[in-house]
Amino acid sequence: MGFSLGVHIILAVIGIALPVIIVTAEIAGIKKKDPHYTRIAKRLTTMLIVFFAIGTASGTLVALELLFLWPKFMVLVGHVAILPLYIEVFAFFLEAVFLGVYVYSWDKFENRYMHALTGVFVALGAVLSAVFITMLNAFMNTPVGFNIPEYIKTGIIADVQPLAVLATPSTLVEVAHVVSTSYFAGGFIFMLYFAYRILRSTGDERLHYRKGLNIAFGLTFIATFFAVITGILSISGLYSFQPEKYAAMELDMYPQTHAPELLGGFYSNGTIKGVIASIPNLQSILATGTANGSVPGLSSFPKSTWPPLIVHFMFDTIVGLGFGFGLVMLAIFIMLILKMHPFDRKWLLILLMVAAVVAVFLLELGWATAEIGRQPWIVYNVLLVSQAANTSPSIIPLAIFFVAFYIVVIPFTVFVIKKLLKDRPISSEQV
Amino acid sequence: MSLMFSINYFIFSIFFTLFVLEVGIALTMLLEYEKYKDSLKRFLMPLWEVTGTFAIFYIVNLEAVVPSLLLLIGTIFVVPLLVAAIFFILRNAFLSYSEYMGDKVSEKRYLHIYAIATIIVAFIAISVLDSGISGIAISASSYSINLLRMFANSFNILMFLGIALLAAFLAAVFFRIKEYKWFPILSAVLGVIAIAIAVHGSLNYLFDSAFDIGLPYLLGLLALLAVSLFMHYKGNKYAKYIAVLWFFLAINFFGFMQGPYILGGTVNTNNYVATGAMAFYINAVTLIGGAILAASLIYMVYISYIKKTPKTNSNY
Repeated sequence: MGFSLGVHIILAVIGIALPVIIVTAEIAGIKKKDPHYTRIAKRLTTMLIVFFAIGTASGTLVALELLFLWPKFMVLVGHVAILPLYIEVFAFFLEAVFLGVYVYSWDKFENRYMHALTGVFVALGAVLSAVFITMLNAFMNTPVGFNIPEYIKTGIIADVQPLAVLATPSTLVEVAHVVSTSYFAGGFIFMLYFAYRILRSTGDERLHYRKGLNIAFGLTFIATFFAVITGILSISGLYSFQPEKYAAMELDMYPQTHAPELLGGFYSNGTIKGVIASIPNLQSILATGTANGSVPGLSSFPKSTWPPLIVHFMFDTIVGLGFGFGLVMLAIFIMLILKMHPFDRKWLLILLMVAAVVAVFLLELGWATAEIGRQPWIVYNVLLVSQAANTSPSIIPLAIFFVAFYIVVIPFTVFVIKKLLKDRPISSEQV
Repeated sequence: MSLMFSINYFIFSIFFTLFVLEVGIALTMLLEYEKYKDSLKRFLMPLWEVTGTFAIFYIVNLEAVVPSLLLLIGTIFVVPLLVAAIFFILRNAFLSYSEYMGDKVSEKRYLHIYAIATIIVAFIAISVLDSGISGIAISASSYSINLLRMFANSFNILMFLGIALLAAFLAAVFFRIKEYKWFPILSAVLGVIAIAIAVHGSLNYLFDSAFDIGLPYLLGLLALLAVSLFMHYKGNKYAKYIAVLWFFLAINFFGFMQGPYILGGTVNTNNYVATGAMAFYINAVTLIGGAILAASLIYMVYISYIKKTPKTNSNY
């Protein structure tokens, strides 16, 4: 399940970011009467349809896996939290139907803006899918909408309020963070593509890719700052709604005021070792707004409900990389303002390519930290992972097969896209 | 059958009609690729995403309608449906790969892989449905299934054969395939007979009710089938719509005769259907979402199949 989701997340962020880049390119092409942008839109559409095909199928697989691998969890979702999942289907339809219109009816519109508008619906459908799926995840973190004490006591699901799941205490921040990080990582994937192609091309072709990189950078730049801001807000949310997770990520063993922010460190035999730096009061200030604000500690909770403490290391890595990305993007933005032509510099293009790989790693790390941090719960304080899982041994060979299957399908897809684009030189692309 | 389960079956009917038509396209691709490739692709290309999305629509709607049955469904059908999902990925992947293929050899190879994957998905999915309807090979009390028996029983084999013949009939009428003159009528009649024998042999209660309270509907269906065949042989261009409508109504007939029971008449789904506030909101979302979906699909059909390409584009 984790592997399928890990792969699906990459496909999903591509599916979320790509329509925005395509529509932006198409509108720029119409507005500036610049065929470079139109060619960018047309060529990226080829990628979009292939990634959509694989993404849809992998999404179906994840939906089925949820049902088969976590049947008890899905029974709870079916009774209490099915609405976001169900509404998501319609967002998905919006994306699928308008994708069909956008891709196959390029020449059917006299007014090209109308064609671009169909692409806006594709982008809207993609991002709404992410929004509604994240609502379900928010329910897992902060469950509401039914009589929880009754369920824990008897297993009976009662007093269901179907709409409550659309606005749990963590929904807004979580949705904002997922959407911004999706554009961030998806944007970086296409910065990698354009940067790589710039390095490999000359003349007009190089100009084509540089214009593409401008668009991808614009999207990613905006997304980076929203991702950082919503990331900080997410941690504040954890402080209130999932204190064990918060304490594990901050490596707070005891509740305290004037809490320092620990960089590095690990828990061993009841003590914390290997701290690289400790910034006095910073954690209290970030979490509560005051230096003497109190933060929770793991000692307040039974050890059986502690998440694996590796989440502290993961969290530190996320924070470090997140701020690193913020600085890099800001530096490039300043270079652009000062007309220093950053995308003509080979070292910077290589840096962007490396950064893109790290960005995808960061995306996966963020998701893994959020999920591992909720352990041992699948629905926080309601349902344990061990209670919800299907433990049938018949699943094991299938799981191995799925991993092998993805390992073959994803590289093959990249190979096919490469072949498709190679067979269609940019200059031959009709605009 | 409850309103919610009726809506669920209605969604299933749309999905299954689209999917069976796609199976017919897949069969035609394997048998008469060169002659019909262009018309098959012209129809398939804007629609394949919608068919796939309808599959997800059906699954999620089922999760919403009968959440209490999910534990049973999730446990017994885990292996076949996950294998079907693998072939579903192959279907999507190779169809999309084929779209922009410049060289004809690769395009043909990819479309053939797509066609085979689609037929395998159909076989597994139909086997799962047959098993769910008939209860053959399933032990609901022990949450177990005999996979070999699920696939290899006379009911399932006859049902699959019947549906495959009807898929071939639909494709032949829809794409006006003229090579085999008597094929549409033969495949339609044999398909119906195969399904009737399967139902008579394994689901007697369903067979009896079809000839009892369902008789007027059944006769209407047979008349509609005759009309679509007549129109097809007369060369009427609307024959294909009548054939698709007939298939859609036939699935609905099957569902309403069978409902509300599954697993060979032993489980009444009405006992498991969501109720109360959740049922209200699910129906509301279906209504609103369904209206938006219908409007979007009409727009897609208009743009893709009806609207003519203008000679010039004013923005360039």
